[in-house]
Formats: sequence, structure tokens, C-alpha cells
Amino acid sequence: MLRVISPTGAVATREVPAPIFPEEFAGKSIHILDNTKHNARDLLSDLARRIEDAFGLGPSVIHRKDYAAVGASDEMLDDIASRADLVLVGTAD
Amino acid sequence: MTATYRPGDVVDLEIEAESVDQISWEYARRNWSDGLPVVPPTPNRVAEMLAGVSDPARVIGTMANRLGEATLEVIAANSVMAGCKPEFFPIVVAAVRAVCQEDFNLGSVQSTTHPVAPLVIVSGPIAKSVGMNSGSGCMGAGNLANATIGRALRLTMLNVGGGIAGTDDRATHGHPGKYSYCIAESESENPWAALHVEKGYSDDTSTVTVVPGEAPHNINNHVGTSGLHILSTIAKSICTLGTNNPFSIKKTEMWLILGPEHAATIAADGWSKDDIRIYLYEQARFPLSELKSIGGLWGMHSWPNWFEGFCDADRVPVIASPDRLGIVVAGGEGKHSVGIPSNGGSRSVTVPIDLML
Repeated sequence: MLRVISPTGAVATREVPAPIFPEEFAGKSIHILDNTKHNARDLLSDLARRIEDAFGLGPSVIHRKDYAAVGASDEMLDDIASRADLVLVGTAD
Repeated sequence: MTATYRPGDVVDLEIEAESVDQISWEYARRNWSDGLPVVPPTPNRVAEMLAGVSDPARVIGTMANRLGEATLEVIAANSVMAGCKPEFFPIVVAAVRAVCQEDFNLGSVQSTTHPVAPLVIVSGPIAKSVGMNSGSGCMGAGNLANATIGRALRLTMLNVGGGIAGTDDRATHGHPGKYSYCIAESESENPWAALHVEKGYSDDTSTVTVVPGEAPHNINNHVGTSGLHILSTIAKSICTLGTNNPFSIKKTEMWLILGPEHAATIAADGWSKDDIRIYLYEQARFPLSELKSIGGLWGMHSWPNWFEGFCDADRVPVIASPDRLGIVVAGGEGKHSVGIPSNGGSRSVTVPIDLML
């Protein structure tokens, strides 16, 4: 038996209330957070269009980060949080 | 007052203590290592690493992407695993503190497809006192301090930050510096101010600078006898397509590790570090038409407003301003220097090394 100190440590956590998922999508708006990777806008826009068609949503709104390697600004996140009913995001390439 | 050390999160492994090979295999199986053999961080060894530390539970930083809390105890465990001597520990702690600063954007470094690893540059008297290598082969293998300090940071990033290849670390190829990437600045061969003095610290302070760096790109000039000749080679060498520099220029930096012989020739011709920065800012440039046609990232670029005024005949720099060029002297005999582009989403960070943890 070998007793060692764990090299991983604890994880910092905070509680975040889960948003209430809308029961009715008609008239709601989809916002897209484009991470600026090459195909992100095309992929997410096409997905948004299909959701719009399927559930009768209003036209989607696209937000574009400054650059893929940096996070969205607080202002952008606050703006999305104040206006969006549903947000589509993607990561990686 | 020194508190009595009581280990926090202990794990009992079903392994005999003397089974060195099985210990390493078990650490690899648990994704607790970089794949190389580790020194088991037993409570006694961790306590020795923490000698003099007043509060082992103190959190030095929260490490993306796992959001693990890098306490002094956990950093000590990873330092033991890396093979550090206790006198290296303050340097490792400073390096962890540095990569956790917002400017370093650790989340991007840990998860990007880009081949980036933190280059640790130690500047100041501690480098010599702990036996770091700033001379021949300083970026390669063979020096205990360079190897294990860099490795301890990387193990902490793996274990606390969760930057495990193929999971949170999405690097296409990775980077050999993800095992260890650590040098000391040359004190005796540096004709200019030391890096820590440039950053505003006193002569007797020691610092760690972490650079979000690609692997070193060779810059070979064996025949130049003037500073201008060598700097002209450097200008062409650091201006290569395939890097993120000209595209994510709001954040990018370029670092130059000048070999002592190149540095001596350049300095003898009267060039200051700022002269070098201005010259390379002006000369290390891409034709805009080239970036548009074969640059590889056109359309994904993020530029300051004034860059948008460039026309096709204009030349675009590899850094947004001369001060984004870091210059350090290190290495041994020979007519080589190296250029190190950055990852695109992060800035280098310099912090002082606190000997009283």
C-alpha cells in the first residue's frame, strides 16, 4: 500500500440557476454566438433556420465574438442574456 | 510561525512503495501524469516540499479548464512528482500564479488546437542559486532545475487544470514543450537590462515570465558580422505564414531568445532592445495580399481599427506594436537564436518569485 497526496485537488464550483426552458417556442427569438471559427456561422445559422421553420420562431440574431481564442465580452453576454429566449453556441473548429 | 503540515486529500494506492514501475503505470492509468515516470508524492515528500509554508491550503489560482484549485499542497504534490528539489518550489508556485492571471487566458492555452505550451523564463538571482541552465542547451534536456520546474508546471496544468490531451486539450499535434519548457535568462552574457528589470522589478528580485509560446523556430546566421545583418535574418525568420501572429494581432506577441553571440554582435553595433523592437516591428511584415491569398486565417482575423486601413500593397506587422516583442538572451556558443510566436489569444505574464510562501 502506498499513501500519496492527490495531485488533482478540489474543483471550484458555484451554483447557477438553470433557466426555465420555454414551453412554447412561437414568437421566441434564437440568438447565435458565433465563435469566429471558419464554419461556425454557416453551421449555426443553418441550424437556427431549421429550428425557426420547425417551431415558428422569429428570425435569429447573430453575435460574433472578437476572436476565437478569447471569451465573449461581458457586454455581449449581458446583451444576449437580456434579449434571447434560446442561444445556440458552438465550440472548437 | 510555521504551521504543522497535515496532508489534505490522501489516496491509498494498492501498490508496494518500492514498485517504481508500477507506480508510474498507475499514475498514467489514472491520467495523473505526462506519461513519464513520477516520484510518488507521499505525505513525507510533500511535507518536505512545503517546509516553511504557513498555509498549505492557500489557493494560488484557479486553473482552467477543470477549474481546479491550485493550492500550495497540490502544487507541492505535482512538484514532487516532477522531481523538483524543495528550493525549486517558489519558482513553480510563481509559474502557476502567472498562468492563472487573466491576461494569460489559460482556458485557451489548455484547450486550443494550436501547438502552444507555457515557456517559463526565470530572470534574476534565483536562477543561478538553484542551478538553472541559461547556457548551452538550455531548452533541451539535462538540467535538473529547468527540466523539473517546467514539468511541475505542466503536471499542475494537467492534474489541476485538466488539460489532458484528447479530452480538454484539443491540440492537433501538441508540443514537446508540454513535457517541460523552462529556461533561465543569461546573466553573464546579456548586454542589456535583465528581463525582470525591464518589467519594473529591482535587481535583486527574481521573476517568472510565462510566454504562451510555440516551439522555438531556429534563426541561423553564421556569417553576419554586423547587428543589421543578423537582425535582417531575424526579421525574415519571424515572419512566416502558419503562425497566428498577423491574424490575432490584438493579443499576439513575438519572443526572441537571442544567442549570446548574436546578442554581442548586435549590442556592439549600438542597438538597444528598443532599437531592435522598432526595427523588427517595421521589417518583419507580410504583404497584405499574401495574408488574403494564402495566409490561412483570412476572415477569422481580429485586427485593431487602424489595421483596416491597409491596402493590398501595404505590409502587415507580426505584432501590433514594438513593445509586443519580448527579448531575452540565453543559450551557449554558436550563431543561433530562436523566435517564438505566441498562440493568439493570450499575453505573457511576469510575476515576482515570493520566497516566503
